Amino acid sequence: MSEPDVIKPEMMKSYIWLQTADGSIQQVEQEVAIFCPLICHEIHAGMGSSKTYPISLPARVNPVTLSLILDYCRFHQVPGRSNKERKSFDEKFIRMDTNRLCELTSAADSLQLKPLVDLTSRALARMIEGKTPEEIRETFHIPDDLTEEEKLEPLKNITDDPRIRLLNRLYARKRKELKEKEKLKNVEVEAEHVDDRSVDELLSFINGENGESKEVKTAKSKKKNRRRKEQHKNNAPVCAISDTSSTNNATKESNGIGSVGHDDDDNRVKSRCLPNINELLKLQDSEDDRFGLDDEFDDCDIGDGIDPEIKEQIDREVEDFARRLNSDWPERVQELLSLGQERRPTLYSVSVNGNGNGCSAKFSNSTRLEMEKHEK
Amino acid sequence: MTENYRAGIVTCAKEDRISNLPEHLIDSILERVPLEEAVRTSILSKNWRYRWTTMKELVFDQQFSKKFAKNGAFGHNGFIRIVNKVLFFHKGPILKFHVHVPNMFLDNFEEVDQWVLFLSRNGVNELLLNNSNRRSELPSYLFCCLELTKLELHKCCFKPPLEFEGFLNLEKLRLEDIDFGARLCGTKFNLPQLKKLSLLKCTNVYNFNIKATRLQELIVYACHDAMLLRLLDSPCLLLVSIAFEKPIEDFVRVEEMNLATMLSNLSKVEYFYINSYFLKFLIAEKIPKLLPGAISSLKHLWLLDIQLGDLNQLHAVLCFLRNSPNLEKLFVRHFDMDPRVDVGPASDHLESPNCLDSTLDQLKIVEMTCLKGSKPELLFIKLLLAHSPSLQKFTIKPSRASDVQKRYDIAKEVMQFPRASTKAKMFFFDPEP
Repeated sequence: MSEPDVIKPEMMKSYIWLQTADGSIQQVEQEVAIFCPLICHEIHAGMGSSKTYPISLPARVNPVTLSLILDYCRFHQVPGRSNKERKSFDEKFIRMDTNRLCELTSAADSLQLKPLVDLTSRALARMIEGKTPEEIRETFHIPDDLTEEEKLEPLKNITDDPRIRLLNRLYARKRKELKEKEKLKNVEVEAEHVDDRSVDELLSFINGENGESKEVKTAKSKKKNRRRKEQHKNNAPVCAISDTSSTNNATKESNGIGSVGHDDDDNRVKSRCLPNINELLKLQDSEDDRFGLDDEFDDCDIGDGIDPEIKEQIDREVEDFARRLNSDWPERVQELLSLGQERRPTLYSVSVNGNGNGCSAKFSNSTRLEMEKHEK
Repeated sequence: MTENYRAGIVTCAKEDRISNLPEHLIDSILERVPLEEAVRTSILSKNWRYRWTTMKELVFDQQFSKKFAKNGAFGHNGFIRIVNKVLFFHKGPILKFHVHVPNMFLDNFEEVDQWVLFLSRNGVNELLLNNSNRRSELPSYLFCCLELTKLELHKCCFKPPLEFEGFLNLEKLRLEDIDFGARLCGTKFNLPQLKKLSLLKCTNVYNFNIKATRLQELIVYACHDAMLLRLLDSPCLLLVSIAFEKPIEDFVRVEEMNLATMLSNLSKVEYFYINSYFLKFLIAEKIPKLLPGAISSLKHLWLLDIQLGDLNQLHAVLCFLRNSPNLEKLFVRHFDMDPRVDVGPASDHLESPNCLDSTLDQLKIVEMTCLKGSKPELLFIKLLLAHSPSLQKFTIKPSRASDVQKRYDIAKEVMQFPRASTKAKMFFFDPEP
């Protein structure tokens, strides 16, 4: 490109040439491009001044992201903008779908454009914060490919209230169930396989790690496994809500159903009256442990063999819970979900720790605040 | 990658791009998320299972502590157990570690010490140990963390081993509610890179002696037995902030200090913040009219909780103003006088003709807050307006306790005062609620 012959000072912008990984070359105003440190270095090294010697950009920068980055640079390299303007531009700028945002982060990082990397990282962090794992997977299209066994490993327990945990699980399972039903329509039978596989893995996991210190986990898995085996045998769904073994829950949930017969009787009763819930609860076993396992570990003392009394009690509680769920499912969902909302971790401003020593000067705290304001 | 883009946006929409970002970018994203959520990403997918374990920053902040404190220390999901778990799962260097140990029953701090040992082996750069319990003894492992650049400690006993010489990389040190103990006895710690030092409410500070030739900022708050001259002995000092919490009668003076010595030590200081208790301490002896050398570097002066009605304090303030020819910004937060005290002498002095006989040529910004509208205050404002030819902005905020009529009266009075600067803008703001 040739410079215009008539030289007007305002028009005298120098341009440089950039080449992206796919081979396309574009021309950009120099003042905009040098906002990126990498490009700046290349210019100082002498590259980019003509079409035959363009600056090759790193592979992670494609034409789409390059134009976004140049928009960013074009706005921010103007010195006279107020902080407020810059902030509102940034807010609007990052409104894009998550994949584009990820690419942008990657590209900005390869160009060493730190302010943009910070901005996009913050935006991505905001998308992760406060969301459940399912939501995060959905937002970022992350495949849910952990086996049940891997999910069993102890992790932090996030939500405290066991009812919310339970409900989260049930809700998630219901969603998954619906999704799987949809998949079934499209002739995908994977859902069934998942469950079977996980049972086998559980078996091998349990059998292979008999000497594990965490007895409870083994015991519970065995318990669950036993129920599953019975499931398949009797063809009657058995529900095992694993965290009923903690005494707190027991007192909350159980109302004491009068007649507690053997397993078989219960199962028959259940199969007649509560088909839907049992389906649900069967599936929620494994997800239980992902969230609920921590509860059991150290407080409970259940050995390898399960006390028949405890088993009965658990059955009772299971039935009770199933009954309640069946009767007022929609209302309960609403109620407990709203409870869950409140308990979600919210950011609240940390209150300044005041001087608790009963200091005589009543203005001491504000003095200190004033001074600390100037601490950089 | 090019095929994707030729194919258009549709293919991109379903791809999982975030999991393929380079590790340092994922680290920086996870570091901006509260710690428990970052750990929770381990159940997202196979890819993410141990992704959080390479985070370089572990911040167990106050919010986190509050959340897990109710589980006790060692209970299920108790605070100590969780931190232990996180540290066990973590791999790689930990550059930043912040922990706020919540207020829970702990009979010893053994675990906290072990964490510090773990960190010292992982090259920690930034360490914050905050403690809401009773004072703990610092573990000796802390003094092995030689890569530390930022250290903040709360509520500990500072007892380094005898052979400890200093943190050679430390740039920022903040010690709050620390007891230095009697054992130090003048050992000089070598902190060659130290730029910023804050001592808040520490005891036995006279034992604390450092050699910090690059120190730029010094903040001493409520440390009544600090040897200030020693701490001020640093050639690069730019910001000094000293405040006392109690009146001088309440504590034993360890140092001979007065206004003149103080100011003669601030040869390069540009920002100076003091409060009235400290000022009273300085002027306990005679106040000189003119100091031996003007403080030519002083640009910003903050006077907190000053009582202009007190003649001594007024003299001190005027002494400052007289001796700072390059002062650019003045901030005064006023404190109520006891109504029984007679403000007559102060007012008279302010009205006397040569009260401030130099002009403040560089003074551009003045802010006065918590004004009650007493005569000395108004006369002081009048004085400033008359002696600052370069003034650009003068802000007044009346005190919260004054009623609307009083605020109106202040505004009316101030409007009348003649101004030496043609560019001066007066701002009258309502106090913060």
